[in-house]
Amino acid sequence: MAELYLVQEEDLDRIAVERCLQGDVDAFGTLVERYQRPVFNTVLHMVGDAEDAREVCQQAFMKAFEHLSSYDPERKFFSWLYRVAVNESINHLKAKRPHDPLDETFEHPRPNPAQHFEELEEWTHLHEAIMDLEPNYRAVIILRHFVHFSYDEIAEILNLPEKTVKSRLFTARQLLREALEAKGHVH
Amino acid sequence: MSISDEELIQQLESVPLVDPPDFREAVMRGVRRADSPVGSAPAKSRRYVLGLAWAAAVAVVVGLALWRAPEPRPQNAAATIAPASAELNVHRIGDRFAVQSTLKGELEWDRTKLSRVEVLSDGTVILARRPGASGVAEIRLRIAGKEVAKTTIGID
Repeated sequence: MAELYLVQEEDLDRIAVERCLQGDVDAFGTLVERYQRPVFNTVLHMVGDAEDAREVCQQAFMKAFEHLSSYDPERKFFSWLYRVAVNESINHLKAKRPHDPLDETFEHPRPNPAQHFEELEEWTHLHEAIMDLEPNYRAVIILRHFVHFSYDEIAEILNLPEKTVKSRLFTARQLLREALEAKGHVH
Repeated sequence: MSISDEELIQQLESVPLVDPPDFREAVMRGVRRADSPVGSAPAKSRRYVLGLAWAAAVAVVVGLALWRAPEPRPQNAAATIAPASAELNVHRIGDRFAVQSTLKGELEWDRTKLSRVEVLSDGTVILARRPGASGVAEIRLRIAGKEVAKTTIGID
């Protein structure tokens, strides 16, 4: 049943993309509506800040629209869209990377999605540990455990072999565990 | 104290998805500002040239058909029959059909062969071929009870 639902969504995506490519720009609105929630959540946990996440999402959807003709309809639209969104998030993080502080004792405030969403407060310690991960590790954790993609879907999104996804996820979870244990958050 | 992989996964997977701020309108404003929308210039030119070629080919085929067969054509020979500005456009993807009408009205279709899947926000109706259905199916547009457009589609 779930598989049937997925097939249907993919068909609807392809129809919307086809209509966009034929000049019906409003059809893109249905794609934004369908994916704004999961894409926003992915980007939010990647960049850590709600306002930045909104901007990055808008940029990602705009970029997807501008490059829609390069989308291969043989592949899943959402994989392609997530790839654009994850890349935009990583570019955003690179652009925002703070310069080395002159004063070594100075600590940059670390963004945390729980600052903006009450429902995430319970997971503050987890988010802090996630934000300490390198973006490449962060991405696999988010795609696998927050938005529940399969290994092969993550491989397609990140343009990596499935084997690399598995090993990267293993390392990411190990680093996360160590970070949580170091902070005394075992539960 | 250590934390097991299972415990970590359980923690990660219990994080809820939050509701995003609605940025659809902002995106659509940007999309509309982008004027002629998608793709790089060469791709757009290619599509334009292909579109022109396609239109020319259709004109030749229709012209020849009219010249060689002056008697009324069967309805299933045309994709669209559209008096005035009422028109039905059907895009097929696999077993699904996106039906768009240029005027607002009531859509009717052969329900033994097609079932409705979804109505998109812009009014496009998505129909799906029923299992085992074959041949052709008619889709009609009525306004105030009067049929203003009809199209016949092959569903094999």
